[in-house]
Amino acid sequence: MTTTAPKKKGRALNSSYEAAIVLKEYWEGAARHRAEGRPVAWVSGNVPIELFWALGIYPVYPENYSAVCASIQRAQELCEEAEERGYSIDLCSYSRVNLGIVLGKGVDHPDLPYGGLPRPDMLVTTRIPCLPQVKWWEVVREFFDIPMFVVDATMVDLPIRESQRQHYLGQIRELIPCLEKKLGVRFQEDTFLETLKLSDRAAEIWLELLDLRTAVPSPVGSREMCGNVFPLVAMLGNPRTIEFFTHLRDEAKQCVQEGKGALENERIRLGWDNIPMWYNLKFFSDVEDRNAIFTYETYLRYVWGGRMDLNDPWTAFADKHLDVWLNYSINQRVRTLLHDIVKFKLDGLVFHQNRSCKRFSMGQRDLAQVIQENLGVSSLFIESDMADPRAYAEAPTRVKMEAFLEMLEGKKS
Amino acid sequence: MVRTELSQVLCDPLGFSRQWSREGCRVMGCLDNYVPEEFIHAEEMIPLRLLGSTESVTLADTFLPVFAGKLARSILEQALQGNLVHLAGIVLSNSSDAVRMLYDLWERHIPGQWVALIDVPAILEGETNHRVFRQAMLEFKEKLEKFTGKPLEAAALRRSIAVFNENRRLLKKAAALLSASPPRLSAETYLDAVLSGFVLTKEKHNEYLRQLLESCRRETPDRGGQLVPLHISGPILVDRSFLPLLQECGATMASEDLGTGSRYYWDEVDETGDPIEAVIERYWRKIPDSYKTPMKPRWLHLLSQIERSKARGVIFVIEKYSDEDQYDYPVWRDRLRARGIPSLLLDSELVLEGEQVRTRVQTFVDIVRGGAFS
Ligand code: SF4
Repeated sequence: MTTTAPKKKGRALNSSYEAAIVLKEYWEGAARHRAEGRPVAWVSGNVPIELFWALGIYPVYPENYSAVCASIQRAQELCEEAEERGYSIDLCSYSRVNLGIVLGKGVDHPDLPYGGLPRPDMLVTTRIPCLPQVKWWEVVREFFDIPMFVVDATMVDLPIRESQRQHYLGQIRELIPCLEKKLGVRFQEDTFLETLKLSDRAAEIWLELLDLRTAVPSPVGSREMCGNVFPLVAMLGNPRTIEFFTHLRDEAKQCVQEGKGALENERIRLGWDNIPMWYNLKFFSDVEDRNAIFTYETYLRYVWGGRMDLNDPWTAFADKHLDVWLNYSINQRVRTLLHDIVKFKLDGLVFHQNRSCKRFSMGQRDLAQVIQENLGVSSLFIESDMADPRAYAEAPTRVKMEAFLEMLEGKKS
Repeated sequence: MVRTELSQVLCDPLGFSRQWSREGCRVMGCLDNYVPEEFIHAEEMIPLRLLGSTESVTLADTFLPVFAGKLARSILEQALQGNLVHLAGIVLSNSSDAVRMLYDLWERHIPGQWVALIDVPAILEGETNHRVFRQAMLEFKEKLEKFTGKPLEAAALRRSIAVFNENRRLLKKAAALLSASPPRLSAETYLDAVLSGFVLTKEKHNEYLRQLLESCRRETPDRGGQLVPLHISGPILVDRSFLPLLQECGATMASEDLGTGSRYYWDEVDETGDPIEAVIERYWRKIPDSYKTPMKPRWLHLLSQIERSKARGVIFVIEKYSDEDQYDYPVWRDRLRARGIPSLLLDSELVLEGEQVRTRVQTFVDIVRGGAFS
């Protein structure tokens, strides 16, 4: 792309360098837990994560592991392993990476990142983000032949209905004794409530950090923030998350106070919908050469970790887990996006039509139509996949992006 | 004669249902196997199962990407084209993600048409899910009552249950004739018999089925053919040209566990006790479809069908982008392989594409016939 102004080198926030350390600590912690014979559960996005930390069960996230494999360009070979075993190329690529490992090399193959995935004692998943997640876990169960628990939920239009809340909590009341029985752990409510406090504190700081990105110029772009999000997924309830997020937030705050942006000459503000292309996070920073910055992502704001009112902890716990983007009806997504586009002062939105994550991608055309009609904000659709690089076509995507930026520039001037 | 009637219905199902609307009947479009059609029937409406169409998708392309799958896309297309305006309403149950999203799209883009979502769980296990499942069914009943303006009467529901149960028993008899050796009912006629039940009123369908079974009883079975008996599995099979193709390759469908087949009709409603509760319980306990957990009862159903029909192989006909079935397939394939039963996967988009399918089926049939499978 044509360079019109120099951009900053390296990370906008120095604290972002800590992300890799936290990630490594998490995976090393999982391996240690396993080695010490303590219980390990494989879990998926939007499971009641705090419960696991409170019970001393290490929650291992194969989804994150798949994203890690994608980011180091290992996803394709693992997807192909799964495909050779009959898993369709049309299935979620996180699951294909994981099944490629489980059914192929084996979870503890030394060639894998962080020495492999610790073997699970139990599987816990949920339909909150999607149904394929449940199906994927069924395949994993078939292989390991271990207990599995699935937390169901129906999609929400905010506010959450009492019946939906009770549906969730009823299952949590079934899950706790199940974990106690299968994994030999004991639930103590005060420990759990303490964990919720830690979780909520981390979420609070994270949301403050995201809100700082409403500032013009924005202190930090999507590439960096996607690398920072992991503890919000897997480590809510772990004090290390608070520490890391505090560093990020404080640094960003200072930048905003000083009027320092991630770009020296920010001109266009963009939003991103859907999971990023983990093998191609550069996509986000490439636009910076055109003085454009991605400063908003539905994925970072609504897929993980909302706030909880701990005066009513169980209600808040349920609501937090149900109140996520992937579990929103299209109408709810529309309302949320209309609000945030104004709040973040976005000039355009890029919709990642992610062939893996159908629940995320269906309804995007409605969103684009509504923001155009109501706010005059244009959008661009790119077709790709979050982990499988074969679905990404570099040249046409760059051309499309270039044209989109030109159009937005023209609109501004 | 009855065979012709059954197949004629399938030439233009929507045209058929339009005729009822013109005659003053209220027709309710239904999607998937978790819509309690007995409630609709007892409220004096005709449930019509929407099975999409093979026509190309143009208008719906704007709202649903290709990977939402042909079924959801083509049903939305039919609605956007105005081909479903004669329906009194639409009922969807919370099944696959695509169907769930279809509900949202319906509300947004098909204004003025009554639409109901039965928001049932996907997990059909545990006390909490059972309670929520029951609640969702009751909410649907109430919504239906509000729509028709009259309460669902127990006596009417009992009558509907009896009609539906009879339908299920007749279809099971048809399945038994299909599996008999030699078959007493051809696979093509069996498929027509099953699919026409999604279009006809259940009373009319029962009448036709009785006639069909009676004619099979009178006819001498054809001992001439040496067709290899196969089991067909999958969420939906509406491509009627597939079974003649199978026959040309030297095989026949001897049993099935299709979502639009035995998984739809196999389980009956208990006719004793409270009819509303009995209907709800039937759907909770029925053989789960691929978008429901647990998978074990579905596997046991598949196995029992194979054992009954002595099928020598299984063909999975799976819709492209149907994640649920695509995750199941390799698991089923491996379990079957462990039992020495070969299987073949065919991709479909409501229609199975010609020559390539023929070649693959032919090779598979040859392998099964030759016993070369290991
Ligand atoms: S389909 Fe989407 S929500 Fe579901 S497991 Fe894959 S990435 Fe996660």
